[in-house]
Amino acid sequence: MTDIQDRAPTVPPAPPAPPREGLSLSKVLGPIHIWGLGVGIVLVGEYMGWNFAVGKGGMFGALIAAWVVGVLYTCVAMIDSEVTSTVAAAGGQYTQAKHMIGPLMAFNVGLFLVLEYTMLEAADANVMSYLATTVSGQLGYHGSVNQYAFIVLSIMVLAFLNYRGVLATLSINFVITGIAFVAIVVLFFGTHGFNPGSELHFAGLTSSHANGLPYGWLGVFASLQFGMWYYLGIEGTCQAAEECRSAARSIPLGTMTGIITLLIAAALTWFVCAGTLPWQYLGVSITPLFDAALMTGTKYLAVLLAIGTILATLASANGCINDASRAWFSMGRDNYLPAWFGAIHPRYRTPFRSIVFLVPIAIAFAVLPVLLNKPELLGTIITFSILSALLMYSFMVPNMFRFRKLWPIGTLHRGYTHPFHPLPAITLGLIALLVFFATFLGYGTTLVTLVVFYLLASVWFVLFRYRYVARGRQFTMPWPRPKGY
Amino acid sequence: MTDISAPGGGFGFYQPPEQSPRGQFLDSVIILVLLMVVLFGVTYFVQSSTSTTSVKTRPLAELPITPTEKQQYALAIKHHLVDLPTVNQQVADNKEDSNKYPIAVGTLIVTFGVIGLYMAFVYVMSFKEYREVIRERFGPPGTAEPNAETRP
Repeated sequence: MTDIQDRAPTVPPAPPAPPREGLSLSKVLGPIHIWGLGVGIVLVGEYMGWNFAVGKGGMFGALIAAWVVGVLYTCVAMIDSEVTSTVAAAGGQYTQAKHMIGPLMAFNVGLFLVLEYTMLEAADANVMSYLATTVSGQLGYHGSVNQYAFIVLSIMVLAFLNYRGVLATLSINFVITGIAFVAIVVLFFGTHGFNPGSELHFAGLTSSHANGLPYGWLGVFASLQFGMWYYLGIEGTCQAAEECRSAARSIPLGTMTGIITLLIAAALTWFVCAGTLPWQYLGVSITPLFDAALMTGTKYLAVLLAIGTILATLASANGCINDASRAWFSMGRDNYLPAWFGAIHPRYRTPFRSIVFLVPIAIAFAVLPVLLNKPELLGTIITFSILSALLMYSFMVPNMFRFRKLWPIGTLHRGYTHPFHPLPAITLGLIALLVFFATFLGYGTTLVTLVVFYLLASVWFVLFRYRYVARGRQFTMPWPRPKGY
Repeated sequence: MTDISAPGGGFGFYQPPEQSPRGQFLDSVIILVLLMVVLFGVTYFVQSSTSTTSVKTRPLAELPITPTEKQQYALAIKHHLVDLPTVNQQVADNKEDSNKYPIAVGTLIVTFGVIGLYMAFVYVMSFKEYREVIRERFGPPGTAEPNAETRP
């Protein structure tokens, strides 16, 4: 059903937004880098985080969440593939909002992106520090491990890598993400997942209603919130559009193969963990796949999954630094934020100031659960990320409708046209609404506070910031006048 | 909002002022402080409002869980993933409860009201600003598209 349009474009391909100081980002990325970026950010969700859905609604709640949220993300991938293959600029959804909804929405979408990825990066670093403690204990070391050192070092090293260049950054992401994905597949075979009952035991799930759905169907709704963690961040592929050799080819190919990879990984993860760990434990575990490997008693699996967890967290934090900095940079380039952030490194062609500026924010939130000695605060930090993403997905619905309305099929060259419009957009809107409700059930205070933050930031933008923005110059695509305007 | 119409009814471009380095620094600080205060505040509130009830430690065999879960917990204890008091705590915290998520209708209305207010503000302002952008980029409605030289 995919409609790849290979006819000659009616308008020239989109140039990058006007660079400052005559510099532009390097166009060096291909489909494998996009896959490495998208899956790299997300795959950590199989290694940690998804299992909080089990605590919210039981094992079946988490499974239903994986399916329902899987549909949401398939819609996200379809919509993103069409729009981004046309709007090929750094900032991804931020740039889309600028061209289709308006400046204030673009400012908000930019902030959604930055918070989504920065909070995810913080969660990654926090888990890595926890894992260092756990693995050292499992290997027989009983001294104290300084978690702060792991958090600060991991973020600093990855930020330095991002600072030095996007090609090396995403090439490394492709390799380490591939290893982390293979580790999940090996665990499935290592636990004889193909032969349920030999090592995986599901009797605990089916023997009584209480085990599968301990909190009833309302618990299933509550699970949807952390069900997002199975796939959260795949839309980050759009941030690399301006750095692709051919965005029209790389973005749809990398994004769609990425979501397929994640659907497979999510299914395998739930299956192995459900058959290995009691749900009461699984619902609060920090590293569920590693724990499942430990439960097998097989040393090579434990080592492999420890490596997989570390690589998944590294890949995710690496991709998050890449994406958050592109969004921040794009806003700086348009004067939505101080223009100082819109600079490109003269040698490495990276948005270096944005990369550096976001480092202390990520570190601050990563150390918070350690500082307060409250590991469960990881859930709150994850919720910041999930909610920011959710607000962005709810924006994608009107964005898609307006894209087709303002520039109907045939008026613009689209690298990819997704099928069944408007079904994916409507489905996305409905499931996003359900997840908002799920968040209200478990993190109502966090939900309201975060929305108030965005409201205050919006008021600040309208009153004090927008006057620095050149109106017409924001529209950077060489497109015809939108229909109806 | 700034009017982009030129004096005398003609059409002009809006020229934004240059922001001084000091102003740029101040704006960076404002957004950073807003972010930190709100998010750190809510994180602190969440952590101070969480509480756990302590439970008496009982042997695994006496816990109200299925035989499969007992086997799995026994294995988890053997591999040092968890100890018996923690198992007791986890089982106590995860009892079957069909009323785990009570819905306070008032809170629900306030929550979705705040979201609705926020969305309405953002969309209304955005659509208004978007008209300005299109008008400056392509000229007033009904006019021919400007050529490359006259585009801003």
